[in-house]
Amino acid sequence: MNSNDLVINTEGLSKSFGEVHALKSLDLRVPQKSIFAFLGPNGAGKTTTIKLLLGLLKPTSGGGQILGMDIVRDSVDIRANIGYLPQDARFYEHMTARQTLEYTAGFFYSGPKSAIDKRVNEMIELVGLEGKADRPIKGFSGGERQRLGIAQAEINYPDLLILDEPAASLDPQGRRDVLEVMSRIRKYATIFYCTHILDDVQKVSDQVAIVNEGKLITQAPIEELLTGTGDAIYSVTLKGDTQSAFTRVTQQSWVSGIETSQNSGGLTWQVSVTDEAAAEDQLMSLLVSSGLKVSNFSRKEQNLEDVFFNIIERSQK
Amino acid sequence: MSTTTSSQLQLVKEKGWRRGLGNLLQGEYSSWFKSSRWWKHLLMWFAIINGLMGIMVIASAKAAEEGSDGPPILFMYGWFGAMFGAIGVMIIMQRVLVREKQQGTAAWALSKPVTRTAFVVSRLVVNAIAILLTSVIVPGVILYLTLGLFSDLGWLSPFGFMAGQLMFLLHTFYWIAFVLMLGTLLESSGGIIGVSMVLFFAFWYGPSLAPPLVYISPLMLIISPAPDQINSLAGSFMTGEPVFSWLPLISTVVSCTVFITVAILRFNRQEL
Repeated sequence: MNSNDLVINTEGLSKSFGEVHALKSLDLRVPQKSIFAFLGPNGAGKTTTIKLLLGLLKPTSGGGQILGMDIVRDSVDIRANIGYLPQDARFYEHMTARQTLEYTAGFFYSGPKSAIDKRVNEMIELVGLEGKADRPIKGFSGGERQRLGIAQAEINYPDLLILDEPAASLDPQGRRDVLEVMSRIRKYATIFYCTHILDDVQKVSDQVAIVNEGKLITQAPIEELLTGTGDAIYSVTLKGDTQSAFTRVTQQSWVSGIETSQNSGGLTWQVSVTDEAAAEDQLMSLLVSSGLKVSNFSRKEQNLEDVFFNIIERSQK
Repeated sequence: MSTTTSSQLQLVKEKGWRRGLGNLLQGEYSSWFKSSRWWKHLLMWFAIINGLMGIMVIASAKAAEEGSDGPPILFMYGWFGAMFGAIGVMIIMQRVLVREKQQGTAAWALSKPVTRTAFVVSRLVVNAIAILLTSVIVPGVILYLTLGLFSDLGWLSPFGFMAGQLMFLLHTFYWIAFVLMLGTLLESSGGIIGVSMVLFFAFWYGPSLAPPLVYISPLMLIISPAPDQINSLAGSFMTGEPVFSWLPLISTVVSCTVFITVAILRFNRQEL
């Protein structure tokens, strides 16, 4: 990918707080007009990365560019072209939602007032805060604050939106609304967001990066991650004496492991295979020829949660 | 409804360290003057300064009727101004940067195209204007009228009184700048109040242990280093007497400059 097609491009970006290495040599490539999910467990370095990108923290080593500008040297110019929603968004409590948006717009535009007012109204509409725009923020719920946060982040037509946990602390309806707004915005901007709600990632994202303990573990398009570079898993439910069958199956070169669990329908195996074609051809006949009754045979669909935990577990080994 | 396009909007033109300053000033200004905050402060300062000085004027008039010496009115004005002015500023200003850092509003504002210098300057300028207006200028004008109408001092020279008021303003500004600087160095309100109090009482009691302190103390702008013998700078201006030394004035101006410079440099390096 050409570096001109990248909205965010970091090289060896690192940050330490004393002895704690919060981010270790991050090389991140975020393509234009993508919805890019930045995942990782708590304390993985996600918020530190965002703060480095925004110039709120200074890198210990390495660096990066946003929209072709240096994240340290050109920080103010970068911030003129992006929108940011902080985790647990806090605004000035004495202001109403409309005043907050007017205030935010004032960082970018000096006038004319009619055009600013119009833009503020568009943002209020975008996030569905029409009925509450003139109420003080003090009384807003978490979901309403989050919507206001998205509106203020979008007010300057940003080329890049950086959202830190945009759907955290929201009820299912609020989460759905936020995802819908993100989908609407993707036409105009690249969205880089961190979250720990993997369901949401699968719904809206097209690129995913996973960090753990300050290190980038993987970065790939979501389809690639889901179809996987890892093993396919077949789920089989069996009745009968499984001991000899277990030995026969584990001896196959294309079997990388079996996890067993007992349930009311019988014994269930999760067979991890490296060669799906071989598994399709041979696994069933191996089981039947070992005298077992097979009541269920299916390929387990990977979801992002499985992929995420597999990757995190592997990175910790 | 047709949608707004970015081409219909005029971009902010501020450059360099002033990037974002106008909007930050407006935001901070609205937090003081587009809410009930400013008049609540005004009432509080009126009650403290003018209330106490009213009592002094009445006590002085009564003493005159009885043929005895009343309280030294201008001395007491300096005393109240120093004590309540400094402590009031500590209470008001200790929250300015620390609270914004703790609540995340500083990080949010700094995620917009603004410089950190502009952020500090906006907090300094608007808070200084609001505090000086409510705690020194308005109570000072009311006091001038009170003294002219009801006290034995009569109508003081307006220029002398204004020069004296400038010393009160500078004294209060000293504490504003000092506490703002502490807000960039410390992370807790308690720490800021504690350090400020230590410095204040060092200046309050220090000269009796180390007399040269009177030449660098901002308190000497408004309270007398030796009551009945030497006037404060403000007292000298108001009564037309010669000043005992210009050093407290020079030292206070230099200190304010240092405090503001440190605050800006420190905040520019701070990680949020």
